[in-house]
Amino acid sequence: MTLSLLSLVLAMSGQTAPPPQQPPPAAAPAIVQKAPPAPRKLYNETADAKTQIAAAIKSAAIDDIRILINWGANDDELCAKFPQVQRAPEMSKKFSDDYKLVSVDVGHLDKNLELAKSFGVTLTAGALPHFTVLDAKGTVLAQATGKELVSEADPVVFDAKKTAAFLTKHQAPAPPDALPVFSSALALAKRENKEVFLWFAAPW
Amino acid sequence: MASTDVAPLLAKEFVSVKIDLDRAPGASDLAKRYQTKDEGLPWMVILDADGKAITTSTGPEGNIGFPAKPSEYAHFRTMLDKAKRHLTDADIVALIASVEAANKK
Repeated sequence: MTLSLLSLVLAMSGQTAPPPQQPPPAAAPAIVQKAPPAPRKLYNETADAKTQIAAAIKSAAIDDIRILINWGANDDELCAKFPQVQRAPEMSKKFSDDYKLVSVDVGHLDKNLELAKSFGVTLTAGALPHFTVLDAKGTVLAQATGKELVSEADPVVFDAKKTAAFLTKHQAPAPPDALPVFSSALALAKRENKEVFLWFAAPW
Repeated sequence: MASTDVAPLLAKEFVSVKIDLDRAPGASDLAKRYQTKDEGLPWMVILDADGKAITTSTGPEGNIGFPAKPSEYAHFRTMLDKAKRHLTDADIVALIASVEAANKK
């Protein structure tokens, strides 16, 4: 309890605080520090990738958006740079509105290779990361290697414009105009003697 | 709410329309017809076939969004009770149970 708080408590109980005293010299308390949490790895090394992808497809289907599978490894230099480009202004909303991102760990090219093959991807040394775009039904729409998306000036830095252009090219078309959709729903409700359950949402 | 678990029951009573408020052109104008303030997302309104609001997802504690706790299930049930013409009580119980089950997955 600090002295000022002790004064307040004593004042409330009708007593006065004792005069301040110099605290006796004490040994410095041992400082117990918790080890900082390990940084979250970009590629979950223990996850079941097949389940991860299935969950992303299920989730993407609700909003009819795309899935981007990022095949890579935590100790690969270029793979580790992907989070940087995700934060670039050109990429604004790409992973909140347009894509579900699934990062699949391929280790030292000794994990999930068969899974990658099932999506038409053959991974080789030096070809990481590799990106696969799926539609909301899980159909492969496009592939790109990380090297196709890097800066010309620096081959271990993603070029935000190139990356955004790749994603924009393959993203789902914008939803139709709300008002005609709404009018059609009202007309259908009238024909079928139903009501309209209108819900506003967003793909995040 | 577009989950395949609850869609068949909702279809018995409703034409269900989901509007992407972020991306669909004209969505915010449509929302303003029924909202007096920003309610957060998802937000739901049940309308008659003339477009008149019967009830909304704004309950006593605010917008229930996707119902996930008892008070929200209760308001969702109130919404369905207010609107029902084809749904039976048993349908509504099953529908609420489906939502609860979806939350546990």
